[in-house]
Amino acid sequence: MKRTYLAFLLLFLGAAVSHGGETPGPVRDFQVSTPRPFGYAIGDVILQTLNVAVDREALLDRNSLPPSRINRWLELREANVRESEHDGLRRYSIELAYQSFYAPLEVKNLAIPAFKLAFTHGEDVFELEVPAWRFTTAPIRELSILREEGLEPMQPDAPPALPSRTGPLRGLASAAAAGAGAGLYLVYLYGYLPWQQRGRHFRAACRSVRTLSRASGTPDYSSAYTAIHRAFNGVNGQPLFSDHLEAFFADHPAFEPLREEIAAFFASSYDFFFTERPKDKFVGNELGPQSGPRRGEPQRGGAQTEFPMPRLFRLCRDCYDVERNLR
Amino acid sequence: MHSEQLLADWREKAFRFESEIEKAIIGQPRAIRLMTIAVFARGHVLLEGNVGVGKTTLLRAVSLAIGGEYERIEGTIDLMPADLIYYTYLDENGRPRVDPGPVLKHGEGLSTFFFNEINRARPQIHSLLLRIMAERSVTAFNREFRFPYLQVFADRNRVEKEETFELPAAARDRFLLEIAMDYPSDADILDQLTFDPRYHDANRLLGVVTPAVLPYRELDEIAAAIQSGIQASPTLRAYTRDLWRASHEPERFGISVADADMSELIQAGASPRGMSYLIRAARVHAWLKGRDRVIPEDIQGVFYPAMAHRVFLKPAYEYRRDELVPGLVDKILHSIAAP
Repeated sequence: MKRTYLAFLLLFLGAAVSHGGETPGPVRDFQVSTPRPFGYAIGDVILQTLNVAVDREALLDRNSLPPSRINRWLELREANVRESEHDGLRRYSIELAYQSFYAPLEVKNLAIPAFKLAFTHGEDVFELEVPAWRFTTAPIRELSILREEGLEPMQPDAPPALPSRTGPLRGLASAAAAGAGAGLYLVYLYGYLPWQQRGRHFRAACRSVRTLSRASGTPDYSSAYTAIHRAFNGVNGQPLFSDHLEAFFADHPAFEPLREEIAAFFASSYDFFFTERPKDKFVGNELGPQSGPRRGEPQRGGAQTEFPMPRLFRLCRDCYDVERNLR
Repeated sequence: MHSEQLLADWREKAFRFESEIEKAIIGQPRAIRLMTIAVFARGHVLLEGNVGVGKTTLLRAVSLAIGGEYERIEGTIDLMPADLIYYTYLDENGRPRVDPGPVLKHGEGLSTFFFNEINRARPQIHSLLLRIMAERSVTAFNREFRFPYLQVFADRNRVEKEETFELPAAARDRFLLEIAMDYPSDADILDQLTFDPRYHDANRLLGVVTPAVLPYRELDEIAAAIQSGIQASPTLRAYTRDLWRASHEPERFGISVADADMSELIQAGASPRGMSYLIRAARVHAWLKGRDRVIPEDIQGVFYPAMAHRVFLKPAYEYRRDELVPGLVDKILHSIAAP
């Protein structure tokens, strides 16, 4: 009675350990650990662990493990062999994962077939029988008996509750907003915004010339002229040289009213950049905005034209007004 | 002040020289201007053009107007260096004679030497020519002959490729300008060339050119005066440097040509000698325009004839040279800003 009780206890613990049958000489210990022997359905994996302790000289022949297809309903999915040496014994822990594909129509007893583990011991070969292991398997579909008894047929699985999407959606929205903001800022920095495109070349030139004209000390005409040249180059799409001014006015008729001033600027710039003389001697007429000839007035002769900073700035601003209204 | 006056006087002579040539050659103002530049920069010229565009007539007109002796030789595959230096024959007494060849025959007075179809001559001829062009001297009959006023004009036939020897890079680099002559496109000029009997006989046509408008013995001196009298500012120098770099590494300046991998296109760009030739020609260009300083337009005006033959493409692209180089040079000129 006590024994039966103990057996039940072990069964309900979900695992059972049993000694194998007769063990040959070199085998010191042999145990088979198996899970519960019932409650299996088609597709379930059954784990079985064999613990074998043998003499140190004995070696397991791994070919003696069961093949992957055992019979028409049972397969061996995995076989892991761990080997260790302890207390002068060689211990094997063999984990076997079987999968049953038996589709029973009623509760049925089945058995994992017995097989023999082979060991070599020096010249000798000996075998250790692993006993068959019986278990019961049950159908997973509703049985006609149940319906006859007035019980409810099998119900589909309850749908899983969906986790809340609010958090991730908020996160996504804020990340998208931050990304769009960063993108816009980048576009702004590159000056790709439509209202930045309009008049951008001369706006940059005006900014440089204003900064340069406010700087103390000798005015840096070289940078001021270069800034305006860059703006003209930008509007023209390629470097603009004095010889190509006619083509420039033909392509950009909006600049036509500034023709004289632009031509004078080019003449003055060529005089400034391409005459070999010390640059610090080139000092513009710094008497103020009134000193330079106004737009449309005849310029003082050709290469001798001098552009003081205010006149350069005025040219820049006029060109900016034209460029802003282009297209 | 003296040198300014000298330059102004000579400019008048240069214009007279051009107008004398224009009497005989019509529809080629650019080629004539470049010829004048070459004459006053004392550089050798490679003429390129189709047959019958008037290359020889132009050269004869130039040599007439310069004065001095003119000599011409046709490039052939069997021409050897000795053929330029001497020729042997039997005289009226049946004795073998050795006389100076076309190069030596005129002595120091040789001012224009025209080598027709230079790419038909062998490399041995090219190397002799290289020496004549570089040193204006040649060794023969155990002594050195000098040609202080010599200017070499060569013409390269670009139609045929068979039985030709491409000029080596070193020889091409020694030419100041490579002047392309094309058919005139103006209908009036074409009509004149076709129907006006004046243009049917080259000898009679050249009769109208006043000889020796330019005293050829003084050309070296005035050339030196132009080179020292025309300024090149630091900004212009920087611009020239950028052009030079762009001819070596166009991809660094964002220059690209259709259907060409820019990093694989250029074998070698212009040499330092090429750049010095460019500036020499640009100074003369500025002088002819009446300026005392070089401006970017002067460089641009001579950039193609001075640089195109100095850009060497990798072999894979060399056969497309005629198509790629003009595009490349054009892109370089339109991409580099000054200032």
